[in-house]
Amino acid sequence: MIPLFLGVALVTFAVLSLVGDPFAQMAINPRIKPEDIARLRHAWGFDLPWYLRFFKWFWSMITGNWGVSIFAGGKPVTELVARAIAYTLRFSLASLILAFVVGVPIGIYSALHQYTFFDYFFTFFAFFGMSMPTFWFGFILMMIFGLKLGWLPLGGVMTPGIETAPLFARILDQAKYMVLPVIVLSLFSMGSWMRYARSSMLEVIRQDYVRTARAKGLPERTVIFKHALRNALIPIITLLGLSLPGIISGATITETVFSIPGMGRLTVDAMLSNDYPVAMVCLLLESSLLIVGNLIADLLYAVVDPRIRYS
Amino acid sequence: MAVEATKIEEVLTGRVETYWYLVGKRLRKHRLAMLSLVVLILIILACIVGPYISPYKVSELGSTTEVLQPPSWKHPLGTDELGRDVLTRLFYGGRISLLVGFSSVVSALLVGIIVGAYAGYFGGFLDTILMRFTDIMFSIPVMPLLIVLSSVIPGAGVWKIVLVIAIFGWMTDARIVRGMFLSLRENEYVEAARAIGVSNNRIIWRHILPNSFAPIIVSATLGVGGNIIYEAALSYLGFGVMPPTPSWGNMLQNAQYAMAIAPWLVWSPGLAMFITVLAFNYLGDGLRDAMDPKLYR
Repeated sequence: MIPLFLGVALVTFAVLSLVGDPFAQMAINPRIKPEDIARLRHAWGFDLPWYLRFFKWFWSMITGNWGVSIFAGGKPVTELVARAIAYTLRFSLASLILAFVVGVPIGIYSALHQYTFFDYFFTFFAFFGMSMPTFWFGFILMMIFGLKLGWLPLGGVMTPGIETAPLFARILDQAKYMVLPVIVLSLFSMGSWMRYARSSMLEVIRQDYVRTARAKGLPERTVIFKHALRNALIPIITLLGLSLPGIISGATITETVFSIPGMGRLTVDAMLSNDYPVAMVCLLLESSLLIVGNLIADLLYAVVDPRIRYS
Repeated sequence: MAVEATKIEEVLTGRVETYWYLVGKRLRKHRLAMLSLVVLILIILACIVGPYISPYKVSELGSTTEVLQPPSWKHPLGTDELGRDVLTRLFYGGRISLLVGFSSVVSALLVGIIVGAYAGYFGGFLDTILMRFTDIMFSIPVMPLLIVLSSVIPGAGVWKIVLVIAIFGWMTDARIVRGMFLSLRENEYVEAARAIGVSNNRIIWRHILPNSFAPIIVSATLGVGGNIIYEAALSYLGFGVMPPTPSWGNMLQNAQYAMAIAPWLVWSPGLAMFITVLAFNYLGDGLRDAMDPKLYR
């Protein structure tokens, strides 16, 4: 796991190095003296060879010294990232819960009623969700609910000036801004939860022990809920571990469509404006979450399924 | 019973039922997959033929009276903010989007097959190195790096987008191919080939690879749809195919700002993309069902 982490750090570092020197553009400006540029580059460590720069940066990353943004008024990276994560969490958690709570039961029900109208309808729905380009779906919802009906705001996170309103009004206002992005974010994952739950349940109810449970005269409810469902949920629970990184790293596209200042936007904006300290923290945070998410999925798998043992 | 019936048919017609013949037979029974295939062929034909039939040129600017016109007989899908015919641009955009979708999948497959085949066949140290690298690539957040790479690599060409999407698209294929090779290399025919002195490369490409085509084809079919969306997302953000070359994605780039006055600009490119991706997903699903020997016989 540690070599994996180092490797990821090295690759992200390499790609960011391609973006180039953030002080290079300053050379064009006649009012900035070359000495000053050299001083700045020295202060930020850009005159060091790349491997020294990498280890210097990597060390400060591990020790929690994340530094300040080159641009964005020299704000501490921790502050910028914390604010973006707060926004992203709100949207991603809501959509994960919505997708899971709606998708999994429908998938299970579809499996128990295979080849019925219900099953076909939601199979189509799942494909519909998985084939929909998210940003276009966002446009459509905006056109219908924002422009035509005027029920919901087009984008942003709150009405300007609402900060002084009473708490309840503030919550209600921000909830309104969440509806459309959450629907867009959950559509894709809802489809995949349905498919996973369906195929997992289908596999389980064909097993011998389910037939045995039926044969010994257990009521159908007990067979489904006690015997089949518990085993069908095993692969689904491990998938929850895999969706962990998405909760923090945010969705660049959806955040752009709805102008949400979350992690996805922060990462891309920082990368494009050469804001090294911010971009590197974002990328490394996201990839370490991916690695940890995979680890959690593996561990969960062993916890819920006693047949699996890691030596 | 069923097996006997096909055996009898084989004897009567003198035609041996190969695996791929059976796959085709099963696929033809999958109604949604066949419908998707027909839809895809129609879309591809329209994108090839459409530009020749259309009376407008792809970047032909209309007069000021023709800017942002709603759909009419003259312009079936309306005109955009520069007075260009949307239907004509949709045909050209489809060419680009499909081209990006297909060629990025093919290039990613090439890398994935090579990495997966050598890792799975030789195993050991080579396998460890290649798969660690695959893990690393898998653990990198894709979207930010896609955006940065396409803004850093010079040029505005379509091939740049293909390259960028392929760089982050080969890992799944590599894992699938490796898995197939790990199990197939233990087969007797591989041992037999080795015994008569066939070279490793020949065993990999001529003996094992053709037997692992089924999951590769499924993954490729699903991949085309996914990559069309990737290209569209990149183009929407302004880092994909550069205007004036149209693609379904960059046609939507300006549509967001015009949506209040010109909703037709939003509908047509998105719908074309959605139907295409949906068809690829259904076709891929049908192929998976048709190729999976566990589900039949």
